[in-house]
Amino acid sequence: MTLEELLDHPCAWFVDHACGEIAISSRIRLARNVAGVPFPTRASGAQKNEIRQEILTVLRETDPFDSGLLASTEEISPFQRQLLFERSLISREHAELDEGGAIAVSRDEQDVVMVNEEDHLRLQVVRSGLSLHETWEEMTRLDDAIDDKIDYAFAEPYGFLTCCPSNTGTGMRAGVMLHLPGLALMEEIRPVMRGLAKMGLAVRGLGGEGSEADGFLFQISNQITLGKAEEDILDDLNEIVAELIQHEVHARARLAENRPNGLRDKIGRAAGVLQNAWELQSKEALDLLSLVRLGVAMDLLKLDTPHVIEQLMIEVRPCHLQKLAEKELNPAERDRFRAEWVRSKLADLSKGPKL
Amino acid sequence: MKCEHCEKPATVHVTHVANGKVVKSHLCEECAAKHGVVQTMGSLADTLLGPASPALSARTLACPSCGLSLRKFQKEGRLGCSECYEVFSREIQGVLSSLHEATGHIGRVPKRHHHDPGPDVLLARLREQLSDAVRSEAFEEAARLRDEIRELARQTEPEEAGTT
Ligand SMILES: [Zn+2]
Ligand SMILES: [Zn+2]
Repeated sequence: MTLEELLDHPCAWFVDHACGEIAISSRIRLARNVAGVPFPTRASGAQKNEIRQEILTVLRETDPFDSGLLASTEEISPFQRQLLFERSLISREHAELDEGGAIAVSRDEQDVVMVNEEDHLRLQVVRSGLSLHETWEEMTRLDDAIDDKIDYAFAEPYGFLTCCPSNTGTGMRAGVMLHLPGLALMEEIRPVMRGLAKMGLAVRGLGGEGSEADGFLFQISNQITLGKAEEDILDDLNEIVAELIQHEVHARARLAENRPNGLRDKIGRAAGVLQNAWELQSKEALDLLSLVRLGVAMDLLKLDTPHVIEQLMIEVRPCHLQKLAEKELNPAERDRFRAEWVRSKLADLSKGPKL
Repeated sequence: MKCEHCEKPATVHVTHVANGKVVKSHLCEECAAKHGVVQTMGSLADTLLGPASPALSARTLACPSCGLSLRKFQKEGRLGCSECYEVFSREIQGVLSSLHEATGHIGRVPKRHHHDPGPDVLLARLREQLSDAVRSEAFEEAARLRDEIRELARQTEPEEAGTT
């Protein structure tokens, strides 16, 4: 499978099954290092190259990468790496790495390995919806398959040894991406976020660490990696996220009951702007699409084609937009092309039964 | 957990380095505000970049395997290789206890790793086997286990063993 083939697909885990759901995706990452070799931050160019070859050789024969994409950083253009980042397939740091790294991506983009990011291996499995246990099942299969062929760096009492001590232990970060416009519009998001932080969970925006919550999309993930077994961490996260989803459901119900006109106004305006604008900035587009997604979920708007909103939420990002335009665009040109693209995709957006 | 200054529940947990030790403070929201304490989200750099202290300013200390110096680790919060975990074990334990409640790993273990359970777990396991052997009247096996337990207990608690 070539990179071009991969990037021509819609982003499966985000688009295919996440239509209208509050929980968009579940993601688990494992940090692993190869025993006896310095971590990438301290390894020489030759050592990094050698370890990369060793890992790629193993992954080439490991399901599901045997039918997927394997490529060294040098074989992928910076633009293509940004595209992979916009799809959350690789981290920002890995997208900015110019040499010594590699990526492996399964055909359906649900399994990814980043090679020589901060650690020798960063395994990632993502599934749509709230499905942490299913995601973990696939992750353990993948981790075991690699463990069969590669000696992992591990020592008592620490557990898996990682470049950053904040990952030491299980090396696991598990997160769920949630769409929470109801809580945001009810102005309840801040106390909820503060509560999550007190429970030891990290809350991030769409773009990962330190990013703003564009489009009311939030990633809730664990911080603890030491002294708690993976399944226990996942059980606790799952329970809290399930509760959060109920909060969002209630917030939407209260919005409809207490502020029916305010809600209709917001969603109607969002639809109006997206269907009529001639210039749209990235954040504005995401925020309005997010409101339209809420409108469709609450039957205030109607869309005949499914998944359009989810797909647009990826397509309005700068690199994806330029790929669609098949040429480089400056920011002003991007805003015009973004507006044009969104208008054409939302032509059949109409009033829903409850508007 | 209660606030250090009053009886209210502690909701603000901060970690800082004082005199070479990682110190944790647990405060309620009011007392935290009174003392001007802000909750840090476990930023590793913050923890490591606390006030310079004699124990942490051993500038020459470096990992013999990858060459990472303690200063660089303190500055960037990143380790260079597996051996760093032994060389900087003191500092790492400090960082880990500031980030997590525990300092030991629970969870998955690589297949090739031989788990060393430690004498306490081993003794408990042997005692269980002994009572099984006695119950099933396997006296030869029981005698062997009894000797094994005595030997292990003697090794781990030399003083107590000397009095019996
Ligand atoms: Zn207090
Ligand atoms: Zn080292």
